Amino acid sequence: MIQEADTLDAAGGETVAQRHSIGGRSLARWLRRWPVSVILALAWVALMLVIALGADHLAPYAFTAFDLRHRLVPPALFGGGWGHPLGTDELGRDVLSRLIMSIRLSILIALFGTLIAACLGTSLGFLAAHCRGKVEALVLMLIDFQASMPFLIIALAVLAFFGNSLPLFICLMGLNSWERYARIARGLTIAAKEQGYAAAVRQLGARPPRIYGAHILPNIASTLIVSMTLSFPETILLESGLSFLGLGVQPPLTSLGNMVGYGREYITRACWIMLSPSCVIVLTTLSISLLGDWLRDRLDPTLR
Amino acid sequence: MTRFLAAKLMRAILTIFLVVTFAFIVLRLSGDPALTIMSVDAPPEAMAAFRTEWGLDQPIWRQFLTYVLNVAQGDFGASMREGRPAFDIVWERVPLTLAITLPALLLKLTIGVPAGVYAALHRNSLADRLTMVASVAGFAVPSFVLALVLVLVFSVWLGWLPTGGNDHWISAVLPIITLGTGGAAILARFTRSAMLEVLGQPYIRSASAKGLAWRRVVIGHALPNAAIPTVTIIGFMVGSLIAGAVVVESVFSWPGVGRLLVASVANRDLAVVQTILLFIAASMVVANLLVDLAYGWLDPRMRTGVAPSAGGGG
Repeated sequence: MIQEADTLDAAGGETVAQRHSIGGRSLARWLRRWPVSVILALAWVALMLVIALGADHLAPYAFTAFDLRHRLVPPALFGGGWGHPLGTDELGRDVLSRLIMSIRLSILIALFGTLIAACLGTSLGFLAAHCRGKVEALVLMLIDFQASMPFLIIALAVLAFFGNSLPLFICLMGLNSWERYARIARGLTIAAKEQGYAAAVRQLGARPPRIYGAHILPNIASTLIVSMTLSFPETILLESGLSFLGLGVQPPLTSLGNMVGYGREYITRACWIMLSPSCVIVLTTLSISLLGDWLRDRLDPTLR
Repeated sequence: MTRFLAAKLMRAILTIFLVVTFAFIVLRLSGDPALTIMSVDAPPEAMAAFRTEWGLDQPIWRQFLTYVLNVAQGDFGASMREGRPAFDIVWERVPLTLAITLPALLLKLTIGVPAGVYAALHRNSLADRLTMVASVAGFAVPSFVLALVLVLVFSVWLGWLPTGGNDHWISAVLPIITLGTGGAAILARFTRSAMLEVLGQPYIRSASAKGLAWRRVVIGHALPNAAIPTVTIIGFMVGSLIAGAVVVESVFSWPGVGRLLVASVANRDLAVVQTILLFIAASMVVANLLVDLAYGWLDPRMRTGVAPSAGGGG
């Protein structure tokens, strides 16, 4: 059944489903709506959320606790014991506990960063669509500027020179992809204003906050949500990249990129320190991208 | 066409000016460089002398004006660490960065574009699915993870290639592969979706309906039209030739511009960071200009001013 599901999934559903007998049809239809890859992705994201929420209770050890007698212990299946399922680092700190705390911080940063970007970008997009003229030109110029500079470079400059506190870092992540939301919100709002409903609400005397917040926003929300599934993994990648370079999250706090950057020093002797956070980064970005693609197909026919 | 060019040129200059302003504001207002470079307990006279020497005792707008004028004259200031002109320090790193980013770009183009076109022409084939899987992976795997996995396999386990440095040309192999594969996957995805979009257009149907051989339809009608969105992403890659290797250079200890940037940021060497920002901005702006010219060349509507829906929506 798994194999069947895989074929279905890979073929995009339709063709294989049509060849099926009546008995398999409902299953096939269900799998078409919920491909296996999407279910796995959902499960993984749910797991990450559970870990992020319950990190304090799930971590078997304190993530900063040293145990100098058990340094560089390999993971359970590679010669280590089950006391440290993912092994320990060179100070004897439990890799699993650190991984759990890292997941929490990375998810937190990416979540807040994405939300800030979405709010900021959408507001600016609304502003541009509402005022037009010079304000719009200014917003468009900012969009162009943001899109034309690699954000990693901007972030590097800002971070190292403003010092590095966690709130500042989160705000910086929130500046990452605002231009995408601004562009979408502006375009869709201009289009929406031509349509009957926005004009009708305006004629009834609604003020701009009501028109935009209560009427236009719900109509463009699906596109914005799809964009969030695109920028969430980007934010995770950006955060982990910066932390990897030692310029993001600072010790004693730990994030996924941090662990990879620090595990790099031990790549020849203890590659597990760096491999487990790497896997988490890859699987998380992969899952959210898959979910995003799936959501896009279901929610939003205007995007490809 | 002249107006089109003039507008683009104005925009390019404006962007550069924005970057200069941004660099100045961020780097100058973020903290007292005198305190960072010298230790906290340095004698006050030495602090004052340092401030006067670097013009830090002037009003901020004055510093800005001086800075802009200097930049306009090609004077990027001197590195606070090394005392040499920042321009020279950055300039001598540029060839090293290009030594890995240019081959990587070539790799991206020679793999990404044909793979995308092939995948689009053979939709739902095995090759298409492999391309899609690779492109999703290319997005999800960050460059430092790919780099470290390559190091683990080819340097640590197999011992074929060095883990870093730049003593020998063979050290460049892993950085180039790291940069190239990620970019190729992204490019393949873009090319594929551009091709698919074009192949669904009515003019393709009419071209094949009038009896044109499929090969000629693809070469003469599909490829030029699909090139327009693809050129945008290639332009971004060209613009990133200097900026795009920050992480990879750091992983492989490759002494290029990116590693210099990370080091200068850590040392708060203002002049060098500003110079690098400007270098990167300039390369991005030039690339954008080239993209616009390529648009003008590929898409006659751009030249005549009958603007198509620019930007392609969302």
